[in-house]
Amino acid sequence: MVKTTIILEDALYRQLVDESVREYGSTRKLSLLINSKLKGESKNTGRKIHIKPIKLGRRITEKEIEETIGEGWTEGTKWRA
Amino acid sequence: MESLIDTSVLVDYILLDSEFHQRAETGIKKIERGFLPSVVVEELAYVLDRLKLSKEMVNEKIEEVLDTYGVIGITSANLQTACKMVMKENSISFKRFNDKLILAVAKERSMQLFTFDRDLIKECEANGVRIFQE
Repeated sequence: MVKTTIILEDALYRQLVDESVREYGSTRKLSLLINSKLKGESKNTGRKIHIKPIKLGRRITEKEIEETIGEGWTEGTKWRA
Repeated sequence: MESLIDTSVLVDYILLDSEFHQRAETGIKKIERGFLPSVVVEELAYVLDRLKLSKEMVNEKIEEVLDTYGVIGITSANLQTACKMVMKENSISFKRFNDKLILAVAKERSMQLFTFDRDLIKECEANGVRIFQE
């Protein structure tokens, strides 16, 4: 570990402070937060699954799902037509 | 090992009456560290909306997904890699560009990809990206 001083833009600093307070309850963990952000880490890694499956009310095939995903692109590029 | 999760798997997991719900559930429970490229979250919102889920329900599912997995933003490098993939394969358009972006993230981060999309599985094999086996 190296101790150094960095100059942050005001808005970024406020964002970090807010996040640190929200995540750790104080601003004392700013270094931990910055290290974690630079490494692209996230505390949400799927270990605890919060997603609650629901019923659509009809059977849906994989083909339909794939086609619907593909439609997103078509919709987004309609301007070309 | 870290895994990227594709849109098809998330949709299958969220919908109990989807063809591969059971497979998605089995796989998702096995993943040790799962992440989503941001483009997957966009596709998920689009698909759930197209399936006529209410705005509130789509929002709820997106929130639950974000509470569960970390999101990896698409970088300039990912976009450039994806463009190169499209140009290399002589495809007639950028139609499957989102797939290339997902592949680019998987390649850059040496992550395996969990997908049921047959075309994407073929692209993983062609680009040396490992496929998550549920």
